[in-house]
Amino acid sequence: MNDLAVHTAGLAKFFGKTRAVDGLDMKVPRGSVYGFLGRNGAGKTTTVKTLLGLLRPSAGSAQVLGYDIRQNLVAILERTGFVTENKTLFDSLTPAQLVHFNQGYFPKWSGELVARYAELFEIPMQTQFSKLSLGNKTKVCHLLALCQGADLLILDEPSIGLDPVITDLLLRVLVEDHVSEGKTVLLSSHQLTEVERIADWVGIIEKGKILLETRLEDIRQNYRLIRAAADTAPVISSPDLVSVQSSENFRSYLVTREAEDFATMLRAKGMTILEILPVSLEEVFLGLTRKEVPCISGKPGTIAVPA
Amino acid sequence: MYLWKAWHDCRARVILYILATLSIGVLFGLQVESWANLHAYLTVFRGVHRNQWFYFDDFYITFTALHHALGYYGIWMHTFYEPRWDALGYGPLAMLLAGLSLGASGVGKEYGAQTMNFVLSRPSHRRNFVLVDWVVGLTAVVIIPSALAFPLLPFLFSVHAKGPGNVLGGLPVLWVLGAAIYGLSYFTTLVTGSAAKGLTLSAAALLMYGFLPTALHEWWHADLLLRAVEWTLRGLEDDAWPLSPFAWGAAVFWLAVAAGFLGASLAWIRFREV
Amino acid sequence: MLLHVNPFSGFPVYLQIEAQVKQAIAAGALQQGNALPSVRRLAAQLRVNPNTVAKAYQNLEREGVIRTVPGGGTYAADNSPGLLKSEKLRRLRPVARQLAVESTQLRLAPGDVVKLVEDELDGLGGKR
Repeated sequence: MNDLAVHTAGLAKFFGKTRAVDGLDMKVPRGSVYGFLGRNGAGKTTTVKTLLGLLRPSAGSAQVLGYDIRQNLVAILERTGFVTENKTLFDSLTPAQLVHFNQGYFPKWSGELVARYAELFEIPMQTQFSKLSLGNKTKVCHLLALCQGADLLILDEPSIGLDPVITDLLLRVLVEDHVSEGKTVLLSSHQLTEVERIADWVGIIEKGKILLETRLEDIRQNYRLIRAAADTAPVISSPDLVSVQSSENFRSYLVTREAEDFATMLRAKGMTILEILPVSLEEVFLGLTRKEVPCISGKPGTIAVPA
Repeated sequence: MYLWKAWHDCRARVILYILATLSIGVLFGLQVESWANLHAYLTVFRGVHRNQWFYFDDFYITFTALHHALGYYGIWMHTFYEPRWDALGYGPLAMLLAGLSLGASGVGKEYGAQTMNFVLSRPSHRRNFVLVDWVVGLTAVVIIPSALAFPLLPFLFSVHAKGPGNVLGGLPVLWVLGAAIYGLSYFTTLVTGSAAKGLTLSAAALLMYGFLPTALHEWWHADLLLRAVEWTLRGLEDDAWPLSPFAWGAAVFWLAVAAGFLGASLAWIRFREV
Repeated sequence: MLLHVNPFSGFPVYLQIEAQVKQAIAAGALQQGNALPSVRRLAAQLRVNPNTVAKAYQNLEREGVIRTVPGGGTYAADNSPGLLKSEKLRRLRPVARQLAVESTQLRLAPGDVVKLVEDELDGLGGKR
């Protein structure tokens, strides 16, 4: 048992020629809320499925809660609550029956939490699952995962179909009943604002590899967007530079640290510094994964892989 | 737990089939022309067939009486090997339906319903899902054709028949054959991921099993396959009893087939990814 | 205690919490000895990560604004945390410098600035 809830080393999953996961090194600290972000097709869902034994890894290794995914899968599944990307459960059962089905698998199941959440989230417990709206289906999926007494929650697109009130409640429940108890939450979502709110770690995956894995504090305290202007176009190359956007004479540099020093360097090259701004998670994400090439040859800047 | 779910899924079907077969059994078991006529029949024919250890004749006679009483209203049931135990002639049909239908409600359908992600992320070895299904399915496959026979038992005892061995002796064949068909249907549903596709594949396989050997025999004069297939179906044949003992070979063969399908299903679910 | 933070304002959440707690104490809404919500409760209320709240509470405790009792409970400390006046002044100097810079930029007279500060102090009412 170590202090990582999830630890992968060179994890890979190939589907024929497609390299969905290609050398993934991921470390999710125990007790953290880890925002697992990536574009569609970047490998998020494949990674999650591999961690849960739904897919077999092509290469590399992974431990979840200290257990190897190839050896002790059942131990992992006993301790992990999982909400799938498509919120489908057994159509012919009602939520109450689904609870009955699920609880048999988990010794730490809490009937009290079921009652509380059913009321809090306004879940119609006696309606057949196939007849529920998407939002209600999502709620039921969460219900089954949250009442397990799991040490790790893996939520793939948790707020699909949920209205803002319920999403807010969900965040609250996650913080109060899980994170505060030292449980780990792995949140895979396109809703960057939600993630930014409650996460303390973030991991960005692109083309099957981790592009960036850092504390959110690091982004808030050290990542800066430097807006500058220049007539000439200096070529900048730096390991701290994430991306550059340019338009006419204006440049925006996204740096991972030491923004002041970077600005000084820019000034030395004859650029005028307009502003140094903190960046949101969304801006970091876009800066790293946006398809448009941030730098065109002949213009300043290089794309660098961040620290 | 999955046992509960597996039962929940096929509950309606199983109960329906059991009721259907029970009522057929009751229908035949209780309808008699008259006890006097029946007794007369039995006295005459018992002398002829007394030496055979395994015979249905009392039962057959009873049925013939019924047959005359009710006329040929299509209650007579022919399978293509025309078994003598005619009320139990529904047996093969019941077994076929039960086996195919229950196999199709196995865990394979979860693929098509997109719920396999959920099922396989429950903390249980994958093989358990298959095993649980099989327990439920097999129990039903055994009970359903048997339900034909049980209403007849009291009747048989009351007409001094040789004993229930007559009727019950035919059942084990149905069980093993049913298990094999169940195994086939279960496996095809698992592999194709849907009940509909699985059933189509199973039906095709069964038709091929019946048709191919005959075709080979007729068109290419290749007897081998036909003889092999006939051997496996000896338990159902009209002439098998009472001249030959219980068709152990065929029974073992079908058990092996059933076990083979179980093994294949277990292997499949272990290796197939979601 | 009702706090309100905006995680997307660019201003770190823990600083917002610290500022609002100090504000509450200064305005008398939070009196000495009043209990603050637990880290867990406040984090849930604000829908932010408990570490953020924990950090704010740690900073506040280090500054003597609040104190934690072993065995649970966080309380507003008395307003004179036993610091020397020189230390208190030292802490305020960055804020004062900021005020000086801004008012110079806006070309305000020192007298105006003093009046401004006094108005704000009056506005707080309560304990000073």
